[in-house]
Amino acid sequence: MNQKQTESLEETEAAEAARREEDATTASNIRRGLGAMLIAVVFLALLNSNGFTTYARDLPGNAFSDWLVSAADQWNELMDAAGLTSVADDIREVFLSLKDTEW
Amino acid sequence: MLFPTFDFAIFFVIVFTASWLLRERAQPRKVILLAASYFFYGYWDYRFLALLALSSTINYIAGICLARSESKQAKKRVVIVGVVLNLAILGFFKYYGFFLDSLTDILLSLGLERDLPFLEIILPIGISFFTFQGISYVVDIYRRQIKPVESPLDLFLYISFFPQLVAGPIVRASHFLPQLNQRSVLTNSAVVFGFLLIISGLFKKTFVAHYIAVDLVDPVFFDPESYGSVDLWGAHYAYAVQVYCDFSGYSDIAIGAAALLGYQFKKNFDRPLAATSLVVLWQRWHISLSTWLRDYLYRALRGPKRDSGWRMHKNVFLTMLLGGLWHGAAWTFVIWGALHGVMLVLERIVKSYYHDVKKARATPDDVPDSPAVARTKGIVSYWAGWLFAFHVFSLAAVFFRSPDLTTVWTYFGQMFAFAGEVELMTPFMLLIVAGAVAVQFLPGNVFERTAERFQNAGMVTLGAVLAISLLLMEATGPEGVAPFIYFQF
Repeated sequence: MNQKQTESLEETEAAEAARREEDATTASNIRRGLGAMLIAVVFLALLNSNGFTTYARDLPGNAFSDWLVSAADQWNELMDAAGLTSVADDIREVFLSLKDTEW
Repeated sequence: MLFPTFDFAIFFVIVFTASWLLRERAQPRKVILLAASYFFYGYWDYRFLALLALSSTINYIAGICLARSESKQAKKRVVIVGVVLNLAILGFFKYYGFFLDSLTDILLSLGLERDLPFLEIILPIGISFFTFQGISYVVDIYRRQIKPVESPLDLFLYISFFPQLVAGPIVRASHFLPQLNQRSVLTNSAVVFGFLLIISGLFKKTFVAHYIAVDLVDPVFFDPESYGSVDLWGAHYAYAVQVYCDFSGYSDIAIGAAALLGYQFKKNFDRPLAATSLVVLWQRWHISLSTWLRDYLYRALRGPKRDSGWRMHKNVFLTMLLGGLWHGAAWTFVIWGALHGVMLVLERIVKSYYHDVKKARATPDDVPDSPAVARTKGIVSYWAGWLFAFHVFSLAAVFFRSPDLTTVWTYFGQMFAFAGEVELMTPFMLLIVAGAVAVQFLPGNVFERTAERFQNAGMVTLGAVLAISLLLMEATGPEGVAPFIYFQF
């Protein structure tokens, strides 16, 4: 193998290694992005369960949406009993008291 | 489908997962993204999917015909037919009602009452944006800036890619098509950048623009006579901020969503409300539309030679006038466009006159200003320029927002009466309007720098930031989702 062929092989290997690294980074970022979105969904399901009931009630009426409304209501009651729904309510209350300030 | 909805969140998680699962297989990935884009558009009204497909087909065929035409004349004919067909579709949906109403009025005034074939035309959402992209594709091939696509799939996806489909940014084929055929990569900073832009866009739209609309602008413009001058002054500034937050908020979400799918869109708004001249403001406002108008309308008006003097002024004015008319067939939009055209021309004339006079008066014996004087002059010139640009923009916005000219005159009459009580311009409203303007004076690459800095933030950190932001917006924002202002155009 002459020097030129060796250099070409090294370049190919370097490109291959860079590509593998890029693939690994992409795969890790896909997991990171998807995981972040799922964490946000769980977080909102816990602290803003009222939003799910509103969403479910606004869906067009059918067997699936009926089931979803019932499930969302039950979940909301559960979160309410655990005291988690009060977080969003408290934030809103504080915000509204600031918002309604007059001159 | 609207971006700030639970429906879109579910849709996006599915598309994100499916498209990245297929990252090693370019063609199926494109098929998934195309199907998702058609679903996104059809979710609003499935009947208009045929229109989207028709527009894409016309431009695909025009691209092939341009590639196969050998003579310059033949290419010119093809590009004219392509552009006319695109404009015919846009014109039919956008101006049919206006022309029929006007024709009926003219016939009535002549004593000729006719039953014209009146059709209740619904303006398809995003028709302007996908038409503009189609025109740019055809014209760029004609100008030899790009080559026509080989696969119709690429063009169909370029025209319909859901993040930019209904309200821009207007993506150029030369920028987007090469990305479709590259390996899909999701970098560390792209993930953070994407989420930051989505959060920023949601905040601008669901909090700032929505509160300004429901608590100030909508009631004041609905009945200007019922409110005092302070409310009217406040509402006209607020409307400038509302349009900015509404429109740039949509662009932020679009650019952020595209980044998470591995595609780069160029910046569409670059702190326009901090611009110190009207020219700069328009260079920073909806950049993809401004540059589209420059490249395809202004250049068409100007011809191959460079413009100068009155010819340039005339073309700048006409471009703004037609830009106004594009927003809708109403005198309010025409005057809005004309006003901006006139002020842009005046600004150029005054600046050029000032420089000429300064040059003529300069002598070799002139002593340069001391640093303190030069700095003071710089500050005065900066703020004078900002005040001018911001006020032209916000005052012209009264025409843009008002339903008719009667409302405009009533509005200005009441605004300059300097009377009445302050009712809607609350401290909160002042804070969000002033705050939205103030943040425009921050450096332009805040998101890019933040994304770079926190590019290694872990999944839990990112998820927590996203969740807390969404919770705060949900808990503090007004109820419901207002449609984006630019959907109607």
